[in-house]
Amino acid sequence: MTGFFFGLESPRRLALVRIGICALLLYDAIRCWRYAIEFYSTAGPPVIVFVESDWHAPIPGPAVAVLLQSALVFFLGTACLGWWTRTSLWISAAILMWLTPLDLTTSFAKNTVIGLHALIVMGLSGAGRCWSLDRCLSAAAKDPPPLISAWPRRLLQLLVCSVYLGAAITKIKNPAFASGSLLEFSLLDDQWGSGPFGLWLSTLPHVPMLLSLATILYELLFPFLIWIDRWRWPMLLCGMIVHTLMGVCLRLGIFSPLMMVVLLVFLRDSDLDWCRDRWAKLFTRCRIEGSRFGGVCRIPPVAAGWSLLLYGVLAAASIGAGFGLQWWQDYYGVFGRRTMPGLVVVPPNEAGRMLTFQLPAYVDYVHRVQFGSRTNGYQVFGRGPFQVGQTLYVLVQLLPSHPELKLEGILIAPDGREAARYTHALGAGVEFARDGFALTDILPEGEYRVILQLDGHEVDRLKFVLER
Amino acid sequence: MPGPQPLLPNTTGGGTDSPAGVCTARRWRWPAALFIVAYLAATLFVLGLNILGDMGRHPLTYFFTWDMFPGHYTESTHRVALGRTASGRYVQLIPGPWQQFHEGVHGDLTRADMDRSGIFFEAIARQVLRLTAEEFAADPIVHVDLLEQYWAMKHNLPVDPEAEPEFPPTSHRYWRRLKEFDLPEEAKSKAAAQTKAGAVSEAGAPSKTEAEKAVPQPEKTTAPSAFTGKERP
Repeated sequence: MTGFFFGLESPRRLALVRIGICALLLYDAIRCWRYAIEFYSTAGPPVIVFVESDWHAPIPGPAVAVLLQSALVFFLGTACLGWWTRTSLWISAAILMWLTPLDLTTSFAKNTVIGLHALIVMGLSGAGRCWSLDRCLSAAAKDPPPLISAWPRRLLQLLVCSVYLGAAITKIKNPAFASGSLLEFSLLDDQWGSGPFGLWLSTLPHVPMLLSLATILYELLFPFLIWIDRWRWPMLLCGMIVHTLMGVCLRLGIFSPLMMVVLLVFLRDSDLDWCRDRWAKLFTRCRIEGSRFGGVCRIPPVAAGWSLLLYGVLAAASIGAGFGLQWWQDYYGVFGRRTMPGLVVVPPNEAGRMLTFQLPAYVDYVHRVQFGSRTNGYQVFGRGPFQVGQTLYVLVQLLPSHPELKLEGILIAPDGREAARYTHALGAGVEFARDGFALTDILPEGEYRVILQLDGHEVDRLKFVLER
Repeated sequence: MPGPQPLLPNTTGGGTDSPAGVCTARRWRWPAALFIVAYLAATLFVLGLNILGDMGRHPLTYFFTWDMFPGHYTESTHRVALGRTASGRYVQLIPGPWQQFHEGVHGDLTRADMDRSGIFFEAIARQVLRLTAEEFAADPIVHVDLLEQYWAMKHNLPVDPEAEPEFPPTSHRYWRRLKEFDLPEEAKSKAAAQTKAGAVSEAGAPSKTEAEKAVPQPEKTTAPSAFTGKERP
C-alpha cells in the first residue's frame, strides 16, 4: 500500500492531465465570462445550488463577479501553461468553489465537481514540474524533471473508479434507465439532446435500451478491470468510446472530454514513451527538426522573483482588461453605460392565448406504440407477417403525467367488422401497457387494423397482415 | 551517504530521483497520508449513502456523490413570466433583455427553462420586477403569472413526410400556469389610483381593459406544476 501511494514516478502523466483539465475549464470559464453578471452577481437572478440548506458563499456585486470571472480565466490559463502552477491551481479552485454553486443552471454540474477534485489534488502535487513554464524558466530546465510521489495520481484514479461506481449504482436503482426510457427521452429533450443525430437514435427500436445496459456494464466493470494489465487498454478504449458517444448524443458540456482527460491517469510511463517514439519517427520522416516530444525548452532561465513579478503584473493587467471590456460593453446595463431595452408588451389576444390553459390531447399522452409477436419486459419483437396461432402483442408507452385512463384496443377484421377488443384500466402515471390479441384460426387471413383508444378517443392505428 | 531510495524503480519516464526531491516527498508523507485517508473515507462514506439511497443532508456530500442521470423529463417546456400592469397591459418579464444566456438544441432556453424543477422561476421573475421598477413606475405591474408552454417530447421529432397531415392542424403545445402572485399592497394602491385616474381621464369607462376582456380569468393556484386547465382540444 505504501508503494501504491508513495512510490516515486515521473510527473508527465499528471502534467498531461493538468494541461487537459485546465484547458477544458478555461474554455468553460471563457464561455461564462460574458454572462458573469447574470450567473453570479446580485444583479442576476440567484439560482443557488444548495438552496434547501441555505449554504452558499456570499453573492458578489456585478463588478466583483466580473473581476472574479476574469481572474478565473487568467489563473486557469496560467495553470494550463504551468506558470506558478500551484498558486494558479489553488486560486482557480477557490474561485470555482465560490462562483459555480451560485449558478445551478449552467455553471455547476458534476463535471465542475470532478474538475474541482482534480484541481485540488493537482494543487497538492508536482503537476507543474513537467511540461510547464515553471520548468522552462527554471535553471534546471535542461535536466530531466524530478520524480514526484504517486499519491495524487492514485487519488485521481480512485476518483474515476468512484465516479463510475456511483453512477452505475444510481442507474441500476432507476428502472427507467435500464428500460432505455431515460436515455430515449434525454435524446429527445431540447435541453439535453444533441439535435438530429440524437433524435434519430431515439427512434431506433431497442437501441436506447442496449446503449443504457452497455453503459451500466462498462461503469460496473471499469473500476475492477482497469487494474488488471490485460484489461487496461481495452477498458481505456471502451471509456473513450463511451464518452465520445455521450458527447455526440447528449449536450453535457465539457463532461465527456473532461472524463477522457481524467482517464489519462491510467496511462503508464511506457505508454508515453511509445507515443514519444512514434511522434519522433513521424517527424523524422517528415524531416521536421526540433520537434521532439518533451524536448528541452530553450527559454533562458528567469529568477523566481522576476517571474513572480511578471505573473502578478500580467494577472492584474488581464483581470483589469476583463473588467474594462465588460464595463465598456455593459451587457446588462449595470455600469451605467447602456440602457437596457424595455420589456416586450404582449398584445391582448396573445396574452389571452397564453392564459388559456388546456390539458393535453389524449394522443399526446401516448409516446409510442409498438407491436410484435414476441415480448420480453418492455420490449416487443417480430413485426410480422403474423401467423395463426401467434399472439399479437401491443405495447403502449405513455407519458407518466397522464391521469387515470381507460385504454381500449379494437381489432378490425379485413371485412371491416370488429373481431376482438381489449380494455385496460390504467392508473395515473403508468408508463407501459402491454396487451394483445390471440390470433386464432377463426380469424380469416388478410390485412387487419388495430385501433387504440384512450377514454374513447382514438390515439393510434396499426396495420398488420395475418397469414395461414 | 546515499539518499533514500525511491519505493518504485525509476521507469523510462526520464525523471530524476534527486535526493532533495525525495527528502521533500518524505517530509510531506504524513500530511499526505492524512489527506489520503480523509479523502478515501469521504468517498467511501458517500458511496455507501448512495447505495442505501440516502443522499445525505450536508451540501458537502454533493461533492462526493456521483448520481449521473438520476431522472428525466417526458415533456419539453418553455417558460414565460407574464406581468399585468395596473392599466391592464401585459408585459413579458421572462424571457426578456435580462435573460441573455441561452442554451439548448435551438439556443432558445433561458435559465428559467433550464431550472427544470422550477424552484427559481419566481425568484427570477421577481428579480426582473426589481430591475424594471423604474420603467413601470407610472403604470406598475400588479400581478404576475408564471406560465409554462409544454408539449410531449415526441413532437420534437421532425415531421414524417409520409404521415397523413392532421386536419384540422393541431399545435400540440399547451399552456399551464405554475404559479401566480400579486405584488405588495403599496404597488397595488398606487396602481389602483393610477387606474382610476386613467379611466376617468380617458373615457370615463369602467377600469376593465381590453386585455382583461380578452383573457379568460382562470382560478388561482399556488401549487407548482398543477394543471389549471379544464378543457381538452
